[in-house]
Amino acid sequence: MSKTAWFRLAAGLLLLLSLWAGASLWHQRDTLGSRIDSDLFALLPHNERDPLAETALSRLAQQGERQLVILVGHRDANQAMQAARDYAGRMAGLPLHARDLPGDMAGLRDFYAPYRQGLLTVADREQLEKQTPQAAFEQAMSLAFSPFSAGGLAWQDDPFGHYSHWLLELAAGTRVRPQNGMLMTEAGGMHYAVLLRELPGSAFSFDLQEQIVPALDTIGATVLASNPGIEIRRAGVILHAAAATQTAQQEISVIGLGSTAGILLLVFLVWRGWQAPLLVCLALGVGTLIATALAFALFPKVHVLTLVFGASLVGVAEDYALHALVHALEDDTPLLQRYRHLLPGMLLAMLTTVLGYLGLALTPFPGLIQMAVFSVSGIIAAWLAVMLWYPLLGPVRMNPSWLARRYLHSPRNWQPKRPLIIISGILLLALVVVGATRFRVHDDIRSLAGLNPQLLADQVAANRILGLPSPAQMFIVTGSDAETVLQREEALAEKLEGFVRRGQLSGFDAISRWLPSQARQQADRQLQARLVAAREQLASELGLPAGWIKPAQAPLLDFAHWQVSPVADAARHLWLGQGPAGQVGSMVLLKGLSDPAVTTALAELDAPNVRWIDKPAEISRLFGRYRVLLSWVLLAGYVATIVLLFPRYRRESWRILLPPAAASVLTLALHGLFGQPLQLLNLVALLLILGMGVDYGIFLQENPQDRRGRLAITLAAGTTLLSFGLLALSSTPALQSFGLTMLLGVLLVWALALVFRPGQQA
Amino acid sequence: MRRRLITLTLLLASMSACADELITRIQQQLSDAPVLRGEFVQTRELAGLKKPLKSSGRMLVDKTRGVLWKTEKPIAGTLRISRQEIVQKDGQQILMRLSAEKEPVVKTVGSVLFSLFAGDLATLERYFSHTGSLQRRDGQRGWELQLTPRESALARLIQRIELKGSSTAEEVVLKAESGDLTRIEFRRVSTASTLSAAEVAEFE
Repeated sequence: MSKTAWFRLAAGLLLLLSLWAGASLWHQRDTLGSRIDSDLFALLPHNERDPLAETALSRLAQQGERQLVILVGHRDANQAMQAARDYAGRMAGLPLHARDLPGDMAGLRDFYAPYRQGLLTVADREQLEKQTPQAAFEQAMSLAFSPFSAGGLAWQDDPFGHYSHWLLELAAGTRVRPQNGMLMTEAGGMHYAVLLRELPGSAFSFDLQEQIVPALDTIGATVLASNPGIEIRRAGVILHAAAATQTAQQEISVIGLGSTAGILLLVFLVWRGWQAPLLVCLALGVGTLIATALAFALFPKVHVLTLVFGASLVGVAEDYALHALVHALEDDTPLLQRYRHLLPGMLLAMLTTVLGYLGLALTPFPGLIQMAVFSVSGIIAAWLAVMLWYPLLGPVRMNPSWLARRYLHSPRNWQPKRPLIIISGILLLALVVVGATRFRVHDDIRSLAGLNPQLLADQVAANRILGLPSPAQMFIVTGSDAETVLQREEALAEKLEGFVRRGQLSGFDAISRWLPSQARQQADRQLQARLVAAREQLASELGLPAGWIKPAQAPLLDFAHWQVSPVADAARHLWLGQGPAGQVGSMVLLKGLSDPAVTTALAELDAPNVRWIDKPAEISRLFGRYRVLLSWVLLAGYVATIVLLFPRYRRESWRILLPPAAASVLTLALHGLFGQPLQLLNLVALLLILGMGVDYGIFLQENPQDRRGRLAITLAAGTTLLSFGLLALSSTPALQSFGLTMLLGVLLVWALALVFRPGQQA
Repeated sequence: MRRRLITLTLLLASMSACADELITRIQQQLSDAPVLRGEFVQTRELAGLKKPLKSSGRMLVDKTRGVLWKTEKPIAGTLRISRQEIVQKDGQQILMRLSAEKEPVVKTVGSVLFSLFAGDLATLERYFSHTGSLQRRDGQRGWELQLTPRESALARLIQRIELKGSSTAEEVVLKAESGDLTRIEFRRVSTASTLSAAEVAEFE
């Protein structure tokens, strides 16, 4: 077969591949939506903690993620209830499950009553240890003469009021109470009806978001309009996820539209006619199509950031199309011959870029691996489209626009003079030094997610009204059996009580509050046995039978019995069950934790069987680790590029490598100067700067005396600025910071590549 | 048959109208003075005890501050009920302090007791359904009411309340679900428009 025949075969194969990609996406079109993931945490690596902690966190995350809480408030309880019923009725058609109502006080009282001899509050325990029989007698007499007992037991069953105290303290853990079949609570003079709902699937599913969130908005507006004076507060991960999706979609369309329009304008500024823009779009389209089809074929879930970000990365492939088409301007070389001439430079440019992107796959972030696969396959496909299809489709000669012709035929050839280079060099060096002194790194995960402030305020208010614990920080208590775990929890609880007394925590949630350890129950029974003298005195004073003095000892409440009882519903999620090492464990959740100093103090309670877990801190540390790792990947990228470039460009290789390296250093210095801290994503941007900067250098090396090379990289830089630089306008802090790095980096790498182009004195 | 149904419906409707009217009529009889002072005699029949517990003392109702319940005989003790908390003291020592902010039940109980002693029928009406009449079975002039909780949560604490009175509540019988029963008779109730300084101090 001749060379041309091989070439045609390859071009045909690429066509088949594109057809397959299109057909496969078309075939799956109905299910693709449900396979797009928008959970930011799905992008994070699974970490190396012990499995029990992992269980705890994923359970909490799952539990939290699917929940939707709607508070309907009014000054008047009945109005609040009525509006909530209205709201609930309108929600009935949505795919949401109503969650079981927690048990009421009477249910708790009846369940625990038989075990009350072993149940004491901390305060009563302290009091009993030093109380005289006479004082205890007087206490009981006073209660006997009081008109009413709030605990609900007959006086003879709780003469000292200890059980009432214990019950009220237990119940005080949640402020929500069922009332007429609806959960009610009060805060700040408002009565709130609480609607608890659960999603049938992940909060990050686009389908669910679309089915639920806009409908909730409409329902909220209707209920607000028809019930004057009510207040509606909503909390749920799905609301944040939907808001983020909406912002992303808006930004994608604005940024996407803006950059497409800008790029087309640039292309029209250089080429005359419709062929050039069509050819550019063809290459990009084929790249994105094949990359998308491949991503959906390889991964069960594709993250939305992979698509957005990956598509931008594939956009870099446009540089090849532009470079190839610039060479058609006023040139009559036969197509095949021209592309054979372009091949070595184009191949190197593509390989170095692909290498840079493959560096992303070295990180353990599932999201970055997906992005690497997407962008590498897209870039290769787009590059192949340029190299295989353009020679067959494109016209031999293309006409430049008026502006491009002026540039190509301009007699002047501006070259910076040596003194200018030296002075700017010194100035830039000074900039780097100043920037370096103000340079900061920042790995806080919270800065990556741009949360909607209104939703966040609602969430905080709902947490405060409902008294919900923080999902991010907790203790995990482990032991060989339930009793050991409960005893360790009680030891921890004693320390936590101190935090509560000092007002550093508003409370905590632990199974031992609902089920004291057997040891604790035994000890409390013995304390209550000291009341015999007081009971004798009461019996003789008031005329009670002798059997009353020493109540029969009921069995202790044990874990097995408690666990299957309805009262355990409110606390069962705290029990983690058995870990792989045979250990059992539980979570102790904290309420009202907001002060970082308190968080630090709590972290010091960490012990071998009482593990402190701080998820945001942990992920932030992980981000820091991978930031360092990615720095090494970046360095390795430079080394690998040298290895690839050296065989062809030898001693001129520095002209290709210096611009991206210097641009990166300068960009970092500018970040320091602007007080923008360095994050993981900025390093990803630097990896891209390396890939693109090297491309620019190669194109200039390949056409040292030809203005078309300069025109090509100027166009490439312009289009990159339009696609990535527009991200600097994003309201998501992570994307915004990334966009800024790209904006500065691309501008600098373009300028430096022109300054250090071959034929320049340096 | 149909006519009977209509008659029945009308009858039921007129009964509920009567019921609402009853509350209004009683409310009209009740004094609307902001402060009530009086003495009480309380008899508690506690489950398991053979003889009832009798006590007496003084009570003070301020319709904005709350109720002060001072038992003087046979032992001294104070119960202070406001919308925010229920505080029980024997002498000077606090035996129990229940905050309504922490525990909704306390709020309900506090509100019910407060309304009982203050004769605030409108609030009681929110928590209880009632029957009653403008004639007393004991032949005295005035009215009587029987209250049963509307909600199961409250019903698990209070089974029934009976009230008798004329221009103020004169007798309250409170039957707890646990079987304990409290009967309170009010005597020498006088009305006033403000508290004395000493009384204000007692509420602090």
